[in-house]
Amino acid sequence: MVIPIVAPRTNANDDEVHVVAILTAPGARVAREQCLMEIETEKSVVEILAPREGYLLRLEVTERQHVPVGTVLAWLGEQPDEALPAAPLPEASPTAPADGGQGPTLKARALLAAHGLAPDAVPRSGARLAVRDVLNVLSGQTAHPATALQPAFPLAPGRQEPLMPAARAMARTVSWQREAAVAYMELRYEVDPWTAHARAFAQRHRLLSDPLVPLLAQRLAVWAASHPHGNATLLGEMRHVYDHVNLAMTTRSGDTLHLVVVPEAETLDPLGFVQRLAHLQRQAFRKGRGLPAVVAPTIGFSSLSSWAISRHMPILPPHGAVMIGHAQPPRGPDRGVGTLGASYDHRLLAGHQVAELLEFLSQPSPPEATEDKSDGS
Amino acid sequence: MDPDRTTSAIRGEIERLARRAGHDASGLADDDLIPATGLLDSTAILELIAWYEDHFGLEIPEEVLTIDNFGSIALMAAWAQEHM
Repeated sequence: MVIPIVAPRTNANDDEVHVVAILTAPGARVAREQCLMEIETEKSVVEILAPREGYLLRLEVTERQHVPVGTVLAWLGEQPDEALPAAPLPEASPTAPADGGQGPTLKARALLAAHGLAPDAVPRSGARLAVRDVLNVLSGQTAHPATALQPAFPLAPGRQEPLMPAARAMARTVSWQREAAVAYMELRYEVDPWTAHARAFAQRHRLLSDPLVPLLAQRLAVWAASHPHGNATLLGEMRHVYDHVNLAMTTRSGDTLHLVVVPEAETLDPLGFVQRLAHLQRQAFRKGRGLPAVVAPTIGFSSLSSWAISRHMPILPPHGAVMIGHAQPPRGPDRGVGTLGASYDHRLLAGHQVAELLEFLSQPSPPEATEDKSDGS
Repeated sequence: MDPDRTTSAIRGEIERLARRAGHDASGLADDDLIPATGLLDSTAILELIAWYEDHFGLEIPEEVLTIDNFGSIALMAAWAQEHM
């Protein structure tokens, strides 16, 4: 585990320290209580000692630098190649803030760093800023202050549940090199069954535009509703399982790429979904007029079916476990073969689960299952 | 609005959207079924309807947005004339 070495408060009057000498180079193995550097305040020179044995992973300061109390001076790890937190820890006093409270707990500091949040951007529920305080902000239960780094979308409502031990071990294993662990997988499939299915659906409902892509996206919503672990995101080591399937779809108009979100997609039958999506897309095309309030997506779908593209690797949006990229070249050597690609968070979904999802999407649902409630035939 | 101007405006937008995709829609007849021509893909058809709603100041309920009501230039023009 990587721990920060912070500039200590040595007396009540000094809010700043002066780095006098750095005695250990990055990468060096250090013994417990070995002096890493010397700092100076108005009244004294203090040795900064290693709290345990390990490796000095990185220095955050240089000699002759003046830094506030609480600044991270260096990082100490158990292994020489251990990964640092994704974002530098914000400056904060670990001892005595002006309001008499204490700084964040170590776990809270790690979570803050992972999400690029400053400690003063998170309301504290107790004497110290705790993990639950950070989770409250990330989950939207506490207002997200304007000073904090705003995600593209707020987090959709859901419940939080701990990862099972095996899942937690996997999350840690695949996260060794970075905060997120996005993987990609694809499946090639014959397009004829889907094309025939969409054509029959359009004929049955007298649709104006081809429903192929919306029906594929609706099938993703069906999967997400029955696989809540895939309609989720990770908060620390908690799985945040969404209450509903809010399906995001990328839609291009000229040079503009829109992201429209079908809220509570699991409640819509295929025709309802196709109509709802078409309505939202038209609203987006109408230069934003009449756009509904932004709904936080929980899962995503993107298609390049109008292009002679045989592979489409979508970017995984924030707060999502999987995003599907669809390609179905209308011309060229790959005509007749479609590709369903999945960018997914490997901490939440294992490879075999994504493979099963892609196989599920590659086949249209049986005709009797796609009959919507309004279809009396 | 003059029926001819309505038809002309719809045709102009179809030609613009088709041209953007590299197609020439100048030969499209008023009664041709637009989805069957391949001039516009499914997204472009939705863009056409969005433009239509804006241009004529109309809101089209989803349940009437069918090929029987909006499948051709003539059908679109007739619906606009009836509902403007």
